[in-house]
Amino acid sequence: MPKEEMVAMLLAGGKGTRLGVLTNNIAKPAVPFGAEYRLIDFPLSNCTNSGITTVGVLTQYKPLVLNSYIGSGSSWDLDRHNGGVTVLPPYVKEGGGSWYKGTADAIYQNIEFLDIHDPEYVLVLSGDHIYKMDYAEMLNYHKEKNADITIGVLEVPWKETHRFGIMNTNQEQKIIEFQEKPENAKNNLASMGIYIFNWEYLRKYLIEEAEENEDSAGDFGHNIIPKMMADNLNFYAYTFEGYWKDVGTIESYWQAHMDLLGEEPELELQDRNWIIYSVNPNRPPQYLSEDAVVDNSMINKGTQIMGTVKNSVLFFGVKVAQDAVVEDSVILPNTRINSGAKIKNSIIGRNVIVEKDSKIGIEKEKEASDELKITVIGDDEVIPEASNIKAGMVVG
Amino acid sequence: MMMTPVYKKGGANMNNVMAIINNALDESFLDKLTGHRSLASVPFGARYRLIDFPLSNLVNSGITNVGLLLQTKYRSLMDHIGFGKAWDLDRKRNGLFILPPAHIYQANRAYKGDLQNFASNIDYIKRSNQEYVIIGSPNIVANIDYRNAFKYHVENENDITIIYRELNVFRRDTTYTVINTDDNDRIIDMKVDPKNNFYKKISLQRYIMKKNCSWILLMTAFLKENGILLKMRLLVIWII
Repeated sequence: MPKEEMVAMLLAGGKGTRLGVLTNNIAKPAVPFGAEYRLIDFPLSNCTNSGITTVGVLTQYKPLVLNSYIGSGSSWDLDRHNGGVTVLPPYVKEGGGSWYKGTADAIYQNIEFLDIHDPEYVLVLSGDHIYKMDYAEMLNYHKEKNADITIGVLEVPWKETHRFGIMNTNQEQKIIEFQEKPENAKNNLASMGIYIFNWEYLRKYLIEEAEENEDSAGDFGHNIIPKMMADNLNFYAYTFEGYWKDVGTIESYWQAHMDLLGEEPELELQDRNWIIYSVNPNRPPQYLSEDAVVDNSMINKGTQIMGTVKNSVLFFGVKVAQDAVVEDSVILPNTRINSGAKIKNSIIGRNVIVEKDSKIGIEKEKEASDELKITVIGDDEVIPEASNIKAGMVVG
Repeated sequence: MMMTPVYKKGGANMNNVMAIINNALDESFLDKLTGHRSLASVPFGARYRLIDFPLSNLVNSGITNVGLLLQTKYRSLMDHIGFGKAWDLDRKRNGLFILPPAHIYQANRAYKGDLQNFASNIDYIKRSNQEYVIIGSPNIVANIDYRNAFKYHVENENDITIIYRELNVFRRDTTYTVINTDDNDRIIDMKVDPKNNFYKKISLQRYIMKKNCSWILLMTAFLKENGILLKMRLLVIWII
């Protein structure tokens, strides 16, 4: 088998606790996004568009939907003779087996997979970020800088630095210090959770950590990176300029959808040179009735709209009946919104039935502040006729 | 050991190269072997067909956009190639393209040369997003790594690079395109099927060039203005 220059390891085992009911039945990378996609489509498509053809997807929490979604990898052109996409759940070894304790432990437990492909470099990615990035450019930078580790970073507003892992760099972009969620940040370059490691070093550190430190959390941020830093390995920051969003919370998930709207959206999905691939849902074209009113919205195949849809993102198979109104909301696949129902600032799960004249996210609690509150309805819920679900509530 | 690299877009990287395998060759010298098949699909070496060599060479060199230009008797070739899966060329983007011969498009025009076939498929060439093209043919059994040749082509800023080989013994029962070069390997003369073999360097009929270089313009000009059609081998000489 030919040696691979770089293999991508995609961390897709997380539950995504902060997404609440959206990850009740699926791993976070399988959460639907942007009318057509699931979160994992972004890193997978980035890989294929960057010419990376060997990708390991590390799964752990509720992997069934993710497994069947990935399939042979053909949707992302990753059905390859050598490599392609491989789903890597934890498994039993000679001395027993264990769950992936953390991000680094997940890679450690798959050293054999990496040894088969014998790469020069390993690209570590998260399965829950929305962005378009050419990893080949990043690898090029990594080689130019003669780095041992390159970390993808982006400039964040100074007032938000306390939410991120901040990289303090010198003028050559060499990272000299790492601050996790600092109160007084010295820099505004935040880690995107994207790393290129020289495999030889990473392999050594992973084995050391696992063998010497039994109680290790097996985490890149807490265990491996500080140790490498202490040993003065060459860390460089690669600044990414472009749209990037961690959709780890209900608010950011909703906001990322709103970012898709507009004539010149912040995240451009029309670019034919950087296609975000997904599994084709094989639905008929959308239908808009004579009475339908649709404004500034993204609407996928198989939807039937007889009512009003404004500033919203509708996945495939959604039905909005006559006199129903959907505003500033995200409606996941196959959900039915019956006549007279009104929905605002909400995320409605898959296969939900909103019975007629229901109100979701329209009214506020009496003592609620003016802050925007997103209402969430979990998958497969039935919202009875004329219910009133107030802003910020979660059903499911 | 071979390595599958991750290429940056464009420039001197192999993802900036497409390839066309020209199947319009005279295969009559193989007599009955090519009675019902093209040269490309002649079985070879217990388990291959001749086309396997150029195709594998291209794929192993990192080229993923390959056009297969057909001429005649290609039923068994199509059978063998399928949709390119055996060479990992069943791709969403790039991959294997079957390029039908000119007479499919222009039944009333006589066949004058393989440039007609290139011209009929110019849309494929134009629409491919690579800047460079390698043109080859299935008449040579060899392992050729195009990565070095392409690197040489770009670094040397060549207009056209022809891959050649020195021969000491020439056979009478075949034909050669011979070239003469100066000390820097620049081609200064080229002869197709010379009566006497003047030069010891034979062209392997593998050409590397910019896709939209003079070649396409020239070819179009030939087709449109003069109606004169030359064979690929002759055209290359003409340019030099």
